[in-house]
Amino acid sequence: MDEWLSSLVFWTLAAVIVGSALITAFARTLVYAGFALLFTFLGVMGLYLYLAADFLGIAQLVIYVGGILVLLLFGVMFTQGGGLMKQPGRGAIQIPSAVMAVGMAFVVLLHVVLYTPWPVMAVERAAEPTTRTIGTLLLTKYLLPFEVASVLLLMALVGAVVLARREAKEQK
Amino acid sequence: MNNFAVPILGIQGIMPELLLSLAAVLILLLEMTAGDREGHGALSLSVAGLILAFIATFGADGKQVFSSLLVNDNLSALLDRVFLMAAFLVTLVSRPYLANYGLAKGEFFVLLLLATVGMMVMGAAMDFITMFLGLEMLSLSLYVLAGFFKKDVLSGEAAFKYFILGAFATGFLVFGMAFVFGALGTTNFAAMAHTLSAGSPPFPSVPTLLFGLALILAGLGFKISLVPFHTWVPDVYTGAPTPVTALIATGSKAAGFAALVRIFMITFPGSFQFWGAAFWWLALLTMIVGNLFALVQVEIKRMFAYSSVANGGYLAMAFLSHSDVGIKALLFYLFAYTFMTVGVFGVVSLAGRRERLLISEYAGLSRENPFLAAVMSLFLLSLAGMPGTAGFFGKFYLFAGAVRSGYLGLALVGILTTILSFYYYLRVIVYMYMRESEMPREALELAGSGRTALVLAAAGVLILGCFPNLIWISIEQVF
Repeated sequence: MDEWLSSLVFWTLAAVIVGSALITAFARTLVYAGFALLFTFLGVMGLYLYLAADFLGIAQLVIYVGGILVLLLFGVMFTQGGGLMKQPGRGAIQIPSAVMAVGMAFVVLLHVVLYTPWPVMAVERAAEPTTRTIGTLLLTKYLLPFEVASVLLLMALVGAVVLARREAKEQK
Repeated sequence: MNNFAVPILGIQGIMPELLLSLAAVLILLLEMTAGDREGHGALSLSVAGLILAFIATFGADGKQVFSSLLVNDNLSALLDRVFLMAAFLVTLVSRPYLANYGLAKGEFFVLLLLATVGMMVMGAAMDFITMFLGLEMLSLSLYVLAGFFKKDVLSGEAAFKYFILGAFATGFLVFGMAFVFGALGTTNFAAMAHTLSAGSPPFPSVPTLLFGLALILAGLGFKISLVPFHTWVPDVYTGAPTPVTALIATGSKAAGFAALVRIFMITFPGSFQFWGAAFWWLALLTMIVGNLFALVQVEIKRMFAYSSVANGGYLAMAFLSHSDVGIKALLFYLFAYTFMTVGVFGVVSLAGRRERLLISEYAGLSRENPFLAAVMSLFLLSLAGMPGTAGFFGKFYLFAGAVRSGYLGLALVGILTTILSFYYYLRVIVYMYMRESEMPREALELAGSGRTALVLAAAGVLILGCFPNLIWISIEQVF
């Protein structure tokens, strides 16, 4: 029963992710694509939660849904108002090369998935949230990456100001 | 109650990085308070930070610091010196170059210093996490620097292309890191090497691991512009402000090679039978394509862009030497390559009042500005590999290493393409000395820091060319 329920949850999530990703790829308008992407992100969040990675799940929600997707939709709104997408050239070269690239990636990934002796570990259901462990690690073992990330953010801030400043006057 | 285990900090282990970050923050504060419009304060602070960091690299003690996320060994110290020298020379060239366009702002130097910090973190990383953070710090600041000339369409194009393709390459790299993590269960290089030597599953032939390594090679191959991951190079190198091009061609490329050395040669030497062939093909293609395309260019920056691609091919050959010989030859060539490449891009920065001159516009430079023409000829001869210059010994060690490891064919291709490269390097010298200029081309005033940078780079090329042992002594101590 438990096993059965578990695989039901997994396959439902997988169907949501793959289905909405397909809609994203083939949607005619950018707004539809963006909204379909919302369900992909939510599905991935569900997968993380299903695997008891609660912090990762919430981070996925905050960053991808709350940040990236909203930014994307704003971008669409401010540019074309969600009109029809200009289809990039689908000529005699594009389709065969796309099929070849995707097919090769698929075959290689399939080979990797099937022929790797995956280490299977029995993990106890996490009773306590992972946030505590992650927080402790960030301030002890991974203190240096934590600090380097702060310098990286400072750099990104300076860079964004350099690129955006004074453009405000020139735009419109 | 959680018992916080206080990690072994080892602040002295990250002294060079700390000093540079501090200099960057000080420049920002100076910008805010004093209004350093001419960039004099920023220049002196950058130079001071870079020199102090250079001195601090001599404190390397071979220890792993911060829970083995970074290593402070002789290899990282030598790489740090390559990065710092490149950044130092580029900083000196930048001031007069930027002043010419009225853009000598402190932010440029802040981004340049933080890019250097990123390179140093990458060169010393013993863990995928730190390596990735270093790479991102380096790449993000270079994207901004490439688009620093906001009024210039081509500069914007360079930044955009670099950013989109770079983000794509980063995706490959992280995906690869995830696969390697999945195969080995750790992100730490030392722990990976330990797992491999324990050999409980039949490593190193697990598909997950090999696929991960292939993706990492593609991601880093983009950084060091190996063919076929080089398509961004001509546009970005041409469009970016020339001192930034110099930094992308030297420091950033050296950091990419440093990461490849740490991953492939030090952590996964056991999988050589799998990745060796990939490096063979990449080196071959890069040498041939880089040199052939450089032959037909008319714009000087584009020509040096392809020449830089070709040099990446010579450097990639070092990965085929099984032993430490490869790493040593690679390090020597990185030093030589840094001096001569910053040198040529330095001359290109200062030779004209506008960007993107044609090769033919260098006609008559020897008469107008004998100093520029003379140092340019020296750098070009070194790039071509003339005896007595740094490039000769650099190529000699690389080719000799390949021959000793049994890759005679590849070394022959290297020698043949080098001979081919004589044509496009010497053509510039012919223009400078034997053709009359058709139109007046104003060179920048060569006062102060620009001249100093070129003299230092020229001295480096000559010293490495005549007394290679000076640097070889410290390279020998790497292992």
